[in-house]
Amino acid sequence: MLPFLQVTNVAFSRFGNSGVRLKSLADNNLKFQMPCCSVVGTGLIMSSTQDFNVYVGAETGLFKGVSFNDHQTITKNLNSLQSLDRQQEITCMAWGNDEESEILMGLRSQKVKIYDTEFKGFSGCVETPFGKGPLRGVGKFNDSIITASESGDVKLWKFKASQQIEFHALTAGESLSCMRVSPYNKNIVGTGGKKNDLQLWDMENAQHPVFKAKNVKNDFLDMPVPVWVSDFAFVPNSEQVVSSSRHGHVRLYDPKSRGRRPVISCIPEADEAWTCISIASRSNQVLVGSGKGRMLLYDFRQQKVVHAYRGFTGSIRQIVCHPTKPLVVSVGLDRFIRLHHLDRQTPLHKAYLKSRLNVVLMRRDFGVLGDQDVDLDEEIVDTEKDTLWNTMEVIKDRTFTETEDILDKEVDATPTKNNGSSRKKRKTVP
Amino acid sequence: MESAENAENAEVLVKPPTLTASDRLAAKKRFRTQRRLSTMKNKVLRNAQWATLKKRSERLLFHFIGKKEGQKQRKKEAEALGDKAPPKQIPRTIENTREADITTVDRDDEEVTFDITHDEYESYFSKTYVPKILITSSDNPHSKTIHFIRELTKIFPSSECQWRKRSSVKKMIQSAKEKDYTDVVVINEDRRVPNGMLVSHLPDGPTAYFKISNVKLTKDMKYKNIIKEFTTHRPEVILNNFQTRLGQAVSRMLASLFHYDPQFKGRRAVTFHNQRDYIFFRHHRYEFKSQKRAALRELGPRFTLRLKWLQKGTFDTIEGDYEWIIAGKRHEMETSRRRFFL
Repeated sequence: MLPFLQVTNVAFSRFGNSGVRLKSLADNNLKFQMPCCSVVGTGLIMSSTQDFNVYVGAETGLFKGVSFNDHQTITKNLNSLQSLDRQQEITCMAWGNDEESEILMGLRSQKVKIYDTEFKGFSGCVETPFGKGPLRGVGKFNDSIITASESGDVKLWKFKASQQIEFHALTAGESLSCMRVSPYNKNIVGTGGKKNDLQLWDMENAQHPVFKAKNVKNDFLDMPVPVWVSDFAFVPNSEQVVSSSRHGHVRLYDPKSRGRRPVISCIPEADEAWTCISIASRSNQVLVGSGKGRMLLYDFRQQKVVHAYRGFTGSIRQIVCHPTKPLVVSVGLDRFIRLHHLDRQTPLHKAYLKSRLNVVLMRRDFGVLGDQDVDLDEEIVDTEKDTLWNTMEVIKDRTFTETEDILDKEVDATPTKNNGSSRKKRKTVP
Repeated sequence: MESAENAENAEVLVKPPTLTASDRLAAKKRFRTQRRLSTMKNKVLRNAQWATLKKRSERLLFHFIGKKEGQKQRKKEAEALGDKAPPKQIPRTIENTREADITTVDRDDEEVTFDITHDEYESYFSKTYVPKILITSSDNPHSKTIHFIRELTKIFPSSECQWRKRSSVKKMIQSAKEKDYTDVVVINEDRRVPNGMLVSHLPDGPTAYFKISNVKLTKDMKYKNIIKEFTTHRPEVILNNFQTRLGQAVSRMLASLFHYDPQFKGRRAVTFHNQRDYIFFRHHRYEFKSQKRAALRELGPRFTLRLKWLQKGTFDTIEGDYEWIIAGKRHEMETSRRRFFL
């Protein structure tokens, strides 16, 4: 027992906030102020001291680290206000490598800042001027940085100028909204924008897109349906892509399927402009966030809204869902960061971050107490009662086939108006 | 303090004073007049009767102690006790029991101040440009709205009024940008009365929509021909009680409609006072009678605003990003009577 207590005490004191009152174990009035103490062993997940499990980029250019714990939320500015202005706004952010030790930040002034999470400092700033407008997408592709600006110009920056790959992704339309590097399929990069539908490019042959999405059919007035891809996400373990549109559509594309039209195109809720989309940890489900502060969990297979989430007062800029756990972090213009459980309306945690927030990244080792799936359909297995039922003798074993025969006989006996047999007798008139 | 006051009143209620026969008769007579109060159809007379009842210090039958009488009594007791007098009671109001808001602006906080000073109004507050406002209304405005708009052109310096002529807001904003306007104000009308105000800051600035109520035009003001007291001096702008971050954003938006350099010689002041999320607009002319006291004369229109939504970017209600919106979320956001957003 004693070692158990020691572990908890050490863990809390790291954040300088030990709410645990350690009394003697014999004391019956022992009360821990931390509600999670009883499940401490599995509840506290801290990989190392002062680690942030969520990183946020703000409009003012501030880069913040947030640590969600069971009892408190800790936030810290990882860069200072001194050198900041509106041109330093962080417009896109991505992990630099699979180990999640590097973060790439794209700025409005067409630069990329690199932050090292292990070293806990900025390791570089790369100038990536190509095209006009702020950077709308940044990523790492085979150890080189790839950037996309709002004018649609995508460039892979390599040391040797001859090896640099550049292409213009905005073959049609006004502006680029999003560019992402696929974490599941090699060489694939996706782009989408205003009046510019989703396109997938192969970096080895970037002259023409590998997949160019086709718009859905004209609506009932024979007018083309408007397109504005605000965000998209790659579905894990497949080549599929889900996209959200500011005109209210949420679409699923499958490049392997026949045809370039979306496999599923639907509007989860009328009159909402979806600004961001994220794959949920449950199969066939996605999370979408709108410009009015609506966040929904949408199921593609059932084609209906499974859950809606509360607490937002302003537009949601980016949503990140954990790949396996039912936890969602969302960030928006109302200057709050919120942590939701997929099954609960009210947020588990929220923090006021003082600046309008643009982008968010979540670590894979993120976890808080209560992050287990709440399975409402789960049967409560009570082994005692089971043995009780099993020991009781069976009175009669009713077989299904017997009853089936009985029912069939009943059906044949009673003549009905719409009897199938009478229909069959009717001859078709040539 | 509340319970002490109640206890005091309770004491009073429990022990009525001794009555003589004539007292009783008088009380009965008065009681009969009390009963007539509910049958008095004339509101003016009914209110007057109620006021007289309140002022009376009788505690008989009605068990009521007038507010003024109570105050006098307490003052007397405090004077009698001198130094030992209990501290003056502070009434509990909704404003002083307001729910604490985490977004309340603390000017000592470096980051919050940075965020405020580096927003879309940075160029206005660094005095780089003079605002130029376009004021218009919805189609087919009626007389009250027309008068209101004309008065607004006198309130906002360097503002112009134009007829709407069925132009869409998006196109209007685009052409206003080309003609170097810095703000667009659209007054919406419903049932022959102005009921909404859309303010859009032009070079991709924020857009806000307010609900207007209680409009009182200059011609309906207390003093006749007050319009003659209007001058073209640039007024001082007073912004009261905008506590939260959202409140700051709204106050900066309203401030940026006026010239950054007021002409104090004109002794003209325009006030936006926020109380319980209602923004009261008043327009006064002041004159200092002494070091501390100033005489005020109210000019100009009087109206009340209430924020409906604040959007980042110019007008785009369907596809835009909102910084704050309450439409459709009132149950979720208005959780208590003591919670305010501005």
